[in-house]
This record gives sequence, C-alpha cells and structure tokens, in this order.
Amino acid sequence: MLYMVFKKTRSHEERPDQSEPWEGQLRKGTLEMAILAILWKKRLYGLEILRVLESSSSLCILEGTLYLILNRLKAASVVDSEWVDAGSGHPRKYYRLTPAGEERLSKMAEFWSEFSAELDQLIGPISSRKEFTNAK
Amino acid sequence: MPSDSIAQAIDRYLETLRKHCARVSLAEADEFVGEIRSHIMDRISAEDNPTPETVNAILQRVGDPKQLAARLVAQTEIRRAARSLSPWTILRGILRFAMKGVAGAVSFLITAAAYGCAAVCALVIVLKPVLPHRIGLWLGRAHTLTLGYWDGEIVNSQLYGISLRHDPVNFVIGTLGPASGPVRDLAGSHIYVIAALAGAAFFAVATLFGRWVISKLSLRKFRGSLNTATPVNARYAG
Repeated sequence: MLYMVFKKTRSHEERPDQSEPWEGQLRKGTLEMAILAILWKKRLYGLEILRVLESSSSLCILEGTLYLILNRLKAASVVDSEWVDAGSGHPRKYYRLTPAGEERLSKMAEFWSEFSAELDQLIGPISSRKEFTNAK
Repeated sequence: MPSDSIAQAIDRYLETLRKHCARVSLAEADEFVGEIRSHIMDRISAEDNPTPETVNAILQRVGDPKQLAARLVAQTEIRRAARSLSPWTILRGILRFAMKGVAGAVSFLITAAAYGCAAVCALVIVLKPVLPHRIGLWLGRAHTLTLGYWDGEIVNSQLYGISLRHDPVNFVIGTLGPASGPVRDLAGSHIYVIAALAGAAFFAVATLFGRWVISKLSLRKFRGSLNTATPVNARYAG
C-alpha cells in the first residue's frame, strides 16, 4: 500500500508537465461554464467551440469528449442544435444557447465573478509578494 | 497516401464507435457518430496533404472509440433512468453508482428496500382473495405490526411481509422470526385500501428518491469523468 502511494507520488514527480490534481479539478468544474460562454450570442459547431476553448483558455479536452458534453447539455435543454449543410462537403451540427441556457450562464457568470473576486482578495498578498520578489 | 486508405481508417474508427453504441437508440447513435464523422472530416480538410500519421493523430485526438461509446451509453442510460418510472431502469441506473462508492451503494439499498415494500403491498392485494385468512395487517406479540402473510400458528408462528416493532425498534422486509402468542387482523376487508395506499406511497418514494439520487450522482460522475482536461502544452508534450 505504502509502495503504491510512493509510486504514485514518484510518477507525478517524474511528469512535471502534467497539471496538479487540484488544477484538473478546477478545470473540470469550469469547463461547462466555458463552453456555454463560448456559445453566448453565437452559433458554432464542435470544432469551432474546441478552437476557441484552446485559444482563449488553458481548458483542453479530448476532442470526442466535447461532443459528450454537448450531448449532455442538449439533453438538459441548455443548448439547442441543428444540422447545417454549409457547402463544406459535409453537414455540421451547430449549437446555440437556449433561453434556459442563457439564464443558467448568467447565473454561473455572476457566481463566478463574486467567487473569483473573493479569492483574489485572499491571494492578493501572495501575488503582490511574488511580483515584488520578481521585481527585485 | 491513397485517399481510399484514409477513408478506410476513418470507416474502421466510425464502425467501432457505432458497434459499441448498440445500447443507445438508433437515432441517438446516428447523431453521435455523424457528428464525430463531421469533426474528423473538418480536421482532415484543414490539412494540406493528409498522411497516415496525420489521420492517426486526428483519430487519437478524438479519443478511443470504445471508451467514447461506453461513456455515451452510460450517459444515456443514466439520463433515461433519471426520468424513468420503471423500477428496473432506476435500480440499474443507481447500480452504476453503487459499484463505485458508498453513497451509491447506500442509495441503492434504500431504493431497493422501498421498491421491496411496494412489491409486498402489491402481493398482499393479489393474494388476499386467494388466502383471505392468512393475508392481512397483523398485530402480533410485543406489538409487532406486520402487513403480509401469517402462517396460522399460535405457537412459533411466522409472519412474512413488512414488519414494524417498537422494542427493539425494527423494520423488516421478510420475517422477524418465529414468535408465540395471539395474532389479530386489524384491517379486515380494508386491507385492499391500506395496501394500495402504502404500496403507492412506497413506489412514489422509491421512484422520486431514485431519480433524485441519479441526477445528483450523475453530475458528480460526469464532472469526475472529464479526466482528459489538461493544458494544451501538456497534451502535446508527449
């Protein structure tokens, strides 16, 4: 058992490029909000959503997983979809927020703003100390 | 690379995906596979000169088709269970969580017990006309109240069904074991109404609780399953 714990710790140390578990948890928790935010007042298909996700945040998922998330959001009536043949040679499925989705996203964004502002206050002294150290 | 071998690689991938989506409705499987196909085509068309390596890399980035299908099936079954009225579907939905955690296991037992009580009530209604002197709401020794079957004995009598005893406090589906003493039927012909109301209440509680548990646990499981969320630089590092 102890060996397993040791091995787990070692394997994490050996892969410094991997994110810490708490970072992963944080990303997972915000992924749904990020996808909904990307669809705010826009109609996009899967790959477009993925590109925005990759370019404007460090949130990244296995590409097939995005469609599972969208499938789940659609089942929850938060997003709506339609197949469009836009002359690309194959049809694409476009997603957009439903009114319920817009309302949910507004609530999420409001909560996130308050939550992150509170956290910013908490970590403020640490960040300013780091900036001071870097300046030196 | 000839374009037909690219097409073969894509077809193989999509066939595997479809094959493992068998437990999802045809329409939903079609929709999902079609969307993955569209995504792959978009990725390939963005390449100037697609090679076997680039196509394989694209398919790898989409994910293992078996795992994707398994997650779609789990997601669909859980969603179906969360809206279902069928005890079997709901219990099967909770069983998925029961295998993975204490909360799921406890919820499964509670739901199964409530459905068990509803089943006993239904049996009482069905069996009363057949065994009129054996089926009832029985008050036995030590104020034990049992809805169900009495074997007709006074000494070492057995009562089967849903039993309630206040000292020590016991709630049992099945039997509390042999006991001696007089047994009295409290309900008489009102047993039908009592069993119907109790059965409906147990069924409603089991269904509502089961569906609530599935919705709560599925959200937790879903967020936990997004285990591939890693930074972009980390994903391409290997």
